[in-house]
Parts: sequence; C-alpha cells; structure tokens
Amino acid sequence: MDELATLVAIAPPPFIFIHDPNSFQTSANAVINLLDSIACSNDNTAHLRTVAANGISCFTPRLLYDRIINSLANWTVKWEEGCSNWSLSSDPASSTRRWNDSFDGFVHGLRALHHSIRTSPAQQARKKGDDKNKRKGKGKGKQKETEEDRAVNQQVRFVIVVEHAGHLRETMPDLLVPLTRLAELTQLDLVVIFLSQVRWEDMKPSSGASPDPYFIDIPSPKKEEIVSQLEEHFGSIMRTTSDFPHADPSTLPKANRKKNAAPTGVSGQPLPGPYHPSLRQLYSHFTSILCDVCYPFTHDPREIQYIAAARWPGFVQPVLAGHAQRIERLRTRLAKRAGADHETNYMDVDEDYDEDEDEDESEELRPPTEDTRLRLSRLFKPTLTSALEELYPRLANAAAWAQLNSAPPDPDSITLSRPTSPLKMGAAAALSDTNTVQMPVTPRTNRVLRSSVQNTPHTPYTPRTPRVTSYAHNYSGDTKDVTTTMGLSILPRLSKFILIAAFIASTNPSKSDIRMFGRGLDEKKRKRRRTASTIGSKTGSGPSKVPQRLLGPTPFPLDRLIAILGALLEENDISEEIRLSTDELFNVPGEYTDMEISRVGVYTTIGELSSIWLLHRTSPPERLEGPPMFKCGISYDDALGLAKELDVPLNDLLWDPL
Amino acid sequence: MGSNNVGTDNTTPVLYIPYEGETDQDQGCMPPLTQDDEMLEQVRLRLDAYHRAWLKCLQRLQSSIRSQHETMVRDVVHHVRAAYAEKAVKIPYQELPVVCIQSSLSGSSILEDISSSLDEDEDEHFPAVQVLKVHLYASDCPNVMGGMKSIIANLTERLNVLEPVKRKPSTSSANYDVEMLVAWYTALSKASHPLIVVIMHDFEQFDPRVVQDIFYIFSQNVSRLRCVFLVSLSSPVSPSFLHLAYPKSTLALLCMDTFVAPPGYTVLESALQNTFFNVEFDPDLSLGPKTFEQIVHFIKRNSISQDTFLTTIQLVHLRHFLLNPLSLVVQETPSAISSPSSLHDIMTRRLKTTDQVNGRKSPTKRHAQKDIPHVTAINQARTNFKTHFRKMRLQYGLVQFIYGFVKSQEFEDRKLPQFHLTDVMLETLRGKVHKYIQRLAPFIRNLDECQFVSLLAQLDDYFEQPSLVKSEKKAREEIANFLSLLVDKAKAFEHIVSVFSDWLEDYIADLTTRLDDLPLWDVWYTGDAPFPSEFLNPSSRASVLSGLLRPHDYGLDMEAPSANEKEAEIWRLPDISILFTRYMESGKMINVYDWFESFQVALEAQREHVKEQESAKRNHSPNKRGAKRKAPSNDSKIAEVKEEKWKVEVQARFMCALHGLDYLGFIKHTGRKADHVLRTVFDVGD
Repeated sequence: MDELATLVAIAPPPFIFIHDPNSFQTSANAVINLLDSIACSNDNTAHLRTVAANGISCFTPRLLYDRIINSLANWTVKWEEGCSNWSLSSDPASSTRRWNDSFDGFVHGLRALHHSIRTSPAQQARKKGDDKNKRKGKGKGKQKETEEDRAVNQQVRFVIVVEHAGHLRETMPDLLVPLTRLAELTQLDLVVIFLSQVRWEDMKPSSGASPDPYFIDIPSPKKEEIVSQLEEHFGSIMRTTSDFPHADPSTLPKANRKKNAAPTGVSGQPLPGPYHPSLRQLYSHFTSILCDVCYPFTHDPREIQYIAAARWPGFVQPVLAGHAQRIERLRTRLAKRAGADHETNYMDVDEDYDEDEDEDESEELRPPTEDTRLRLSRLFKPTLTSALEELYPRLANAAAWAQLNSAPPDPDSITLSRPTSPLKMGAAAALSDTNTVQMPVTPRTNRVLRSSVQNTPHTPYTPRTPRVTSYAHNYSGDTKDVTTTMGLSILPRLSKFILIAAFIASTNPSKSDIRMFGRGLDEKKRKRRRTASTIGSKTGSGPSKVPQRLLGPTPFPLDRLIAILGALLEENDISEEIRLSTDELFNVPGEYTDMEISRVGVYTTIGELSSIWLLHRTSPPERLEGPPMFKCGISYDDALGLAKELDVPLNDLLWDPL
Repeated sequence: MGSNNVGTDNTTPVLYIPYEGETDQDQGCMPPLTQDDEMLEQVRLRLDAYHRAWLKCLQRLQSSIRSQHETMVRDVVHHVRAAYAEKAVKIPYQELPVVCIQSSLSGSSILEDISSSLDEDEDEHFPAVQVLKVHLYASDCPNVMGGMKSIIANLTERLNVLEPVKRKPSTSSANYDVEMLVAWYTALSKASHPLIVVIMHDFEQFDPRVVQDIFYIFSQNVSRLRCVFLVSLSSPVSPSFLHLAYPKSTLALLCMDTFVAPPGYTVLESALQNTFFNVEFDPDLSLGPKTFEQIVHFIKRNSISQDTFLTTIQLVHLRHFLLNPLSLVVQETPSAISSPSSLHDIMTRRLKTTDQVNGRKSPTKRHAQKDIPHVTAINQARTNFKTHFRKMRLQYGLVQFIYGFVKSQEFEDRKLPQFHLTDVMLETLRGKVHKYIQRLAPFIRNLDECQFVSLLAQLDDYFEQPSLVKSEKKAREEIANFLSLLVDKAKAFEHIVSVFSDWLEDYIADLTTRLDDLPLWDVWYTGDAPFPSEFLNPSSRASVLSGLLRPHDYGLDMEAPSANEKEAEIWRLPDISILFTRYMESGKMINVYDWFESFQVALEAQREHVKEQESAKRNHSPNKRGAKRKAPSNDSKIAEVKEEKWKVEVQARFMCALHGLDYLGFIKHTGRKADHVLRTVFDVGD
C-alpha cells in the first residue's frame, strides 16, 4: 500500500494492476480509502481527482463513462435536474453535448473536464461548495472545499480505479485495450488502476495491444493482521455506540435509544453493551482464538469479522449477565443501607455481605480476569467451529445465528452461587455451573468443512440445509426435522422416482443398464448377473479405479433416464390393485408403465426439476438434434433418503454401491 | 394463469370434451337436437348455473388456502417492515435484505397476499412506512440491463409517487443506471424514507447470472436505497436452491431470511376438506368417489400446484354442467315459463323412471304425482339430497373429530394407526367409513374418566354448530344423557364408555348414505362419472404410435378400411404409416435400401389400384375410350417418361416419410455402417 501511495502521489505509471485473490473487498476498500487520503493531503505534486468504478455495476460502456466523468467532476445526479450528467455549460439540463456515446466522446469528456478544472478552479470550488451545502449527511464537504481552493494552477491528476476489472472482459472486451491506454489517448496526467481477483494473464486482450501494467500482488493477510483489523473494527463500533462514554445518546437511532433505556444501572446509567471499552482486552483474546479456528479455511478478514460479529454478543453475554447481577445486588445493598441509615445503626444491620464487596461499589464494568477469559474460551471454542460451518457458506445470516446461539438474555436463569471473592462474581460464577446456563453446546467435530475448502474446484459442493427463519407449522427448527419434512420428501411421487432414476443414470455406466434392469417378458424377478462383489477382484491388476460417486455425476441422455424410470416404476410403483385393474386393458406386461413414462406429466416434471437445479441440463436448450442431456443434482444421501421412502433398493441398483 | 383469475369467464380455459357415447343415465333423456333455440336457452341457463356454482366453490377453496397461509404472511410482512431496523449484531458491512418465501405449492397466492398486506399500515411495532412494490418476473430480466430497466421504470414511472421530470435521454443518466434510481429515491426521501420491495415471482426461473449482478448493484447502494428483495421459491429447503445456484460471493452480500409455508399437499388436502366435507359449507356440486380419487392421485403423484388444482376442479364443474341437461336446476328451479319445454319432457321421464325403479309410490300416489308441478318435485329432490349430503359430511366430520381427539391423547400400550385424511374422505364417499370408526373404537373404550368427560364436552361443542343444532338434536340429548350418567355414577365407568362407544359406532354408521340412490342425484353429484385425466396428462408416445399404426382412426375418411382388412391393404395407408409398418417388421438395424424397396412395392400396389379405378371409370365413359385410340404411337414414350417421373416421386415420398420418422425420433443414425439406421422403438403392442 505504501508503494501505491508513493507512486500515485509522485509519478504514477499510466496503468497499475492490483491482484488480490483472497481478500478482494478488503483490499479494494483499503485502496479507495488510501487514494482519498492522498487526495486530501497537501504533499502531492499534483491535484488529485479519484474515482472508483465497478466492473459489475457498470455493465455497459455508457455506465462506465458516466460514472467516471461524473465522479471525477464531483457531480451528483439529481432528479430535479432531469438526472443530467456533468457538462461544460452552466445549465446541464439544456446541454446537448454528450460524453457517453462512444470512447471518443469519453476521451473528449475527460479532456474537457481536465480543462475545466484547470481553468476555473475557483468557480468550480464555489459551485462545489454550494452543492455540498445543499447535500445532507456528506461529512466531506468542508474537506473538499479546502481541496478545491488549493487546486489553483496545480497540475491535475486523474486516478481511475476499476474494481472487479475481470468482469470487463465479459461485458465489454473491446474497452480493455483503450482503457489500459487511456493516459496515452487522452494525453493527460492519468492513471488507471485495475483491481481484480483474476490474474492479468487470464484477462489481458489476446491481441497484445495493451501495455504491460505495473503489477502489485497483494498477499493473503497474516493472522496477526486480521486480528489487528478486527480490533480496529471493535474500536470503531465502540466509538459509534452508546457503550463509549462520550457517545451522545441523542445521536442514536430511536429504536436503539428505547432498547438501551430499559436496563439501567444504579445511577440510572444504561448497562454496558458487548462493545464496552472494558471488554476490549477480552475481544482481542476472542479474535485470536477465532482466527485460529477460521484461518485454515479463509483468509478474508471480512469473513472472519462477520463470524466474530455473530459470535461476540453471545460470547460476552455471561460477563454482561454477571455484571448486571452485580449491579442488582449493589442496588439492593444501597437500598438496605439507606434503610439502615434511618435506623441509625448501620453496622448491626448489614451482615449479609463481607468486606470484600464493599471494595467494588463502582458501577463500571471491570475487565474480566484471566481465569474468566480461559473459561469462556474453553466453553465457546466448539461453537466457533459451528459458527464457521454455518456462517461461512451463509447457511444462516449473522443476526439470526447470533439470536439462536445467544446465551439466555435473562440473567435470572443463570444460577449464581454466592461468590467467595469478587473474582467469582458474575461471569466466573455463571461459567462454573454449565448445567444451568443454556450455552450453545456443539460437539467438537473433526470433519472437513466441505463447503469451505478453498481452491478445490473439483470438490463436490453439497450445500446443507440453510437455517429457516420461520415455519408456518410448528416445526422444532431442528435441521434434521427440516430435512425430513421440508426436504425432497415434499416433492410429488413421480418427481422422487425421476430423481432416483437420474441418480442411477448418473452413477452407473450405461453399459450396465441391461444387466441391472433387463429381464425377460415371462420373468417377474430381475436378473442381476453381476454383483458388485466381483468388481473387487479386478482391482489388483492395473491402477485402482476411482468410484464414480467420487468423480461426480456423469451426463446421460433423456431416453436413458426415461428407460430407467420405466424399470423403477414397473418394479416399485405399480400396486397389485393397479396391476389387476389394468390387466384387462393392457395385454403385454409392462404396457401400463410404458404408457405412464411417455405421459406429458413426466416431461413437464423433468423440466421443473431442472429449473430448480435438482437435475442439470448439460446440453443447450436451443440444440434440436439429439436427445437433451442431463446430470443428476442430488447427493447420495438425498437419493438414499428418497429410495427408502419409496421402498426402492437403491444399493442393489447401483453398479458400484457403497 | 393467475389463481385469482380462474373464476372469471374471460380467462376460462377452452376445453374440448369429446363425445363418448351416451351414458346410462342420459339415455332417453336428451332432447331432440332440432330444437335449436331451446337448446341454446338451456345451455345458457346451465352455464349461468355453472358460473354461480364454480364461483362459490372457488371462493371457498381460495379462502381456505389463504387462511392456511395467514400466519406466515403476517410474519413476512412484519419482517419486511423491520428489515432496516437497528440490529445488535455489528457486521462489517451492510447486507442487502432478502426474504425467501419457500412454498412447495407452486403458483400459490402467497405473494399476492403478502403484497396486499404490505399496503396495510397495521403494524404497531413500526411506524407507518410507505412501501413501494415492484413485481418482477423472469421474462423481465433477460439480462442485467433489462432487469434494472424494469425495476427503475416500474418505480419511477408507473408508481407516480414523484412527478416525472423532463430529461434528455442522451445527456442524462441511462434509464438502467442505478444512479438514476438513487437520485429519484433521494428526491423522494426528503419527505419520508419509503421502503422499496422488489417481489420476484418464481425465482427459480430467473437466470442466476443476471440476478447475482442485480443483487450486487443493489448491495453496493444499500446505504442510499432502502430496498428489500422478496423472492418466492417452490424448491425444497434442502438442498437449498439459492446455495446451489448462487456463488458464495453473492450470498455473502445478502442477509437472507427464509420463511417456509405449510407443505403444499397438506394445504390442498385441507382445502378439499373445508370445501367438500365441511358441515357448515354446502357446495352446489359434490364430487363423486372416482373424480375425487383421480384429483387426489394427480396432486400426490404429478404436480402440487394451486393453479392445476383449481383448474382441475373447475373442469369437473364445467364437464358436469355441459353434459348434464338437468344441471341448470342445481341452485334453483326455473319457473315454468322461463324453463324450456324440453326440460319438462326430461323431467317427466326422469321422475317416472325414478318411481319405477324405486317402486316406492302406490299407483294412486303416482297418479297424483302427475299433477304436482315439476318445480315442486325438483325442490323436494334438492332438499332431500342436501339433507343426505350434509349427513355424509357430518359422518366424515365426526370421524375426523374423534381421530383428532384420540391423537391428542396419550396411550401407553397402543399405537394409533395413521389415517390419511384424503383416504377417509374417499371412503366416506364410497360409504365405507365405518372401518375407520371400528379402528378408533378400542381407543375410545380405553379412555380414562377425565379424557372421556373431555371428549363428551368437545363433542357437545361440535354439535353446537348452527347447521347441526336442529337436525342432530337427538345426538345432543344422548351426549347429555351420558354426561348425566357419569355425574350420577349410576353405572360403572367402563360400562358407560362401552355403551357410548357402541352408540357412537351405530350413530356414525347410520349416517352412511348412498347419494346415487337419491332421486335426481346426478344433478348435484358427479357419481361414478370418470374424470378425463387422459386429457390433463396424455401419453404422447402412445398417441404417436397409434396414429402411425391406425391413421384412419384419426381422420374422417369414409373409405377407411376396417380393422380386419388392415394387413391385406397396406397400400391404403399414408406413406409414413407404410414405412412405419415395415419398420415394425424389421430387425434391430434397418437397411435403408431394403426399406425403400419394400416401400416401393407398397406404392406400386397403390398405383395399380389407382390405375384400376381410373380404368374402371374410363370404361364407363365412351369419350375417353375414343381418345385412347387416337394416339397409339406415343404410348411407349409417354410410358417411359411417366415411369421416370414415378420413380422420382417414389424416392421423394420415401425421403419425406423417412425424415418424418426421423423427426419423430424413431430412427437413430449409426454413423458406422453405411445405408443402415437403428430402430429406437421395439415391441409395440397393438
């Protein structure tokens, strides 16, 4: 970052490429903040104007041009002015000159803007000042005004940052070369910075027309760096919330004020929240444990920060509950003391508390002791793993997860034994009795987090059940319950058969179908000539074959799916009742099923299943020749669950069963 | 088709109901077809009756479905309004609120209900928030630009919350630029901070690549735009569609909350129960066991969709009112003047038939019956039917009530058998519901005193429903009697319970009625009429095959051969059928040249026959005979040219028919063996 700051401030190369595959958003924010701070500082050789355009948000060239020019000109689009863009004339609504019709227009626009900034900075500054005064909630107004005053007769330098530059390759590949040569084309002091998760080698135009950029590769952040970032975050929240002693309660949102108004201390002060300055040390301890757990799976500080935000209120809850109890006791004691004053014999009345308690009559939340910290971390460490498992793949959002895994908010539910020393008060006492504190208990698990393993594109990604905010019926909210009641079992019967057929078609080699499902007209029993046990004998000769279920599903044509579906329906679906009733209509065995599998409903269901991604269509829909190809979208566990429900012996039908 | 529009005539789907010959009940009842005006009048009256009956049924079904979603709708609306409230969890960036509505009942009206509830300002926890809604469908979002344009145009132009300003399209922000929306929102926010709710219908149909970019754009501006996305999903909760289709980078931007609606099948089952088996609701048309079974079978097996469900029941209504000439008297009997005279004929015959079949009335009474106007007879029949139908519904209601009660109690030694409500309903229609009560009787006998008193009290409450107060007075007296016996302790408790159980069993058994034994039953009851399921879910392959094998069955060819001479006269078939007949006779692989030759033979036979027919015609015409004699020298040349032309024609016809079969998927090209194709269809039973 220092390198970038120096370059931009002194003599930047025309094109810089910043590559960060791990913590992209954090780096992007850091770069933009850095550029803003450089623009505000006085040490620059030139007057800096910066803009951050986004490769995803600007999905057409016109949006990109508008965004860059408007931002460089500090122009805000206003509804009352007809949403007009920046223009040279004083009345933008009447201007006919446009800068967004082509790249040429854009280049002219940049030059015009450059010229306008250089020639009439005072006017610009005045106008800008007016604009800023009109706008509300923009804290930078004053800062920018001083910046404009300073800009007179200075060289103007444009810094254009393009986030998610990799997207430009898909949305507007023709613009890549001119953008990288923008300084050359405009003949201005200008630097283009591409920020991307994709490497330059993978996105550079094949013609070789773009110049090589100045590369900056950002390594993945170290554990200590992440911890320090998290601590900074704590500090920033502390300053903005009411926990901070100097925070003005009137600036808080109404709802928050109301919420904080309820629990108060002895002197009417609100009780401390989870971001109280006294808890900062505990937070450092917490973040270091959290990083230990999360670092093997993600290096993105934003992700770890997200998990920390969800876990922290629950983690610190016992401490706060202990504090609340202490305050309560203090209040009772003061009340007693006041009563005793009336009785004039103070010493005789008060026998309930010892002298130790007299020492800590302050209402301030004291930082927890080392012992408390250790107890807390031991208790909560397993839940950190479960937080990572659920929050990293976003099976739940942070607020919902925190609510579900919070310690009981009511401090009365925590049984506090009479503390023998001040140390044991509150948190330590609460922690000593884990049976009464309903802490979230998650068994320690050694399994690999399937969905969080990075850089393994071939790992089959099986999303588990996401958390559900609310059920219309009274389900317990247990994940198992969801899987059985709201999982695949809610599908119609035919859809279930199709999914099992698709799973078999995707797992078994097509050559095995006749052996697995083939049978004579006169025989009712399936003849399986080859069993899975015979496969084992082959493994000795040659390299061992990887089982198909580990290689992922293979595509199959629609005809094969229908044929397997027919075999399944014939064996497992037709009840004796139907068989008897249809015998009069259909003479040939299996004719009833034959009619069933060619019904419109089957094809409609296959279409529906592929639209909800339980089947994947691998051939493009516009291809007419040949049958459509599909791939199964459900896992072995799901297929087994469905098979059990329908009484289909799935393992007997798999060529390579588990 | 939206479920709300099902009732209106404009959107009524066109249905073709083929003529299937006269059913037993219609024999001798159809008026002569020559009376056109009368027929038209009758049809009009019947359609009016249909419209009233269907509307009544539809409103009941819809309100029943809606009531089951009511709790969820309330929760969702509350959650949406609170989406931007202060949260205790301080995450490092602001997430875009997304509310997922997961309902296995596809095409359900949940989103409409939520949408209308969002307009009502009845949330006491949050101050009145102006909600601006945008409805988005997959067709609105073919790409990011289209999607953004659609959202922005809907908000800024169609809602008319702000006066539109004059803007130059070239020099102002593009109409798909989020900056324009932000400018609009900023202008709007001067007065209040409205909440934008983007409702995405059938979310699975949207292209994930497009939606993920739209989500990204809105998440970047979430601090400037208070926006909530409401998405409706019909896929199961596990595996989650959103987690399958969207990358983690997109999911990380969203604050996703999922609301799960009750399972679709349960909702529809309960709607059926509330409409056709509720004592308090009297539908104009009751479903027969066959129709009911087919509807339930279709829902269970093929599709759990509200639209399909409602359309199916609508079809049953439509079919009944179109086929049954007497159905115009379903709700009320038209007066003698307004009703067509043909109806009188039918009525006379029907009433006579009923008398003969039932043999209930004495000759003198029958003579007197002649003088009673038909109106009275019909009214009597209607009242009679309604009474019996209510008895049947009561029977079901009681079984369901007892089952519900027994289920709520705890029995240590016995395990309660699982009853499927639809099965109970079906058996009630068939008049075989007693088997369920027999299975419940042992549990009633095992109740302890407290449970028994509770059962009696609840049963007494059940009989207090307005429609049962008068008609089931005796039953209430019996229950009061049992209660007094318990209080007096006149007899042993076991004895009282046992007597009660027997009484209940007999009482429920006595309620059994065969609706199709009642006079004019077919006016209000579909009976054993089959349900046209073949038209809802046809077997396309079977139709194609039978079309190829018996093409004449599908046309109006009067010279079509009968089934017996099919083999002998293959030349009579169309080209594609000739080819297909040979296809069926061949092996796994077909040599195309052999196939062509066999086709040629058939065509030769066809040609010969045509020639014979022509010559036969010529023999009758003397002029033509003379013309033939005039040019004997050119005969050979003309014959040669004709032969050439014929060969080309045969080849062309073969290719045409072959490609027809290829297009239908009967042929697979090998690519290995020249001139050979593979068969794809085997063992077709005729």
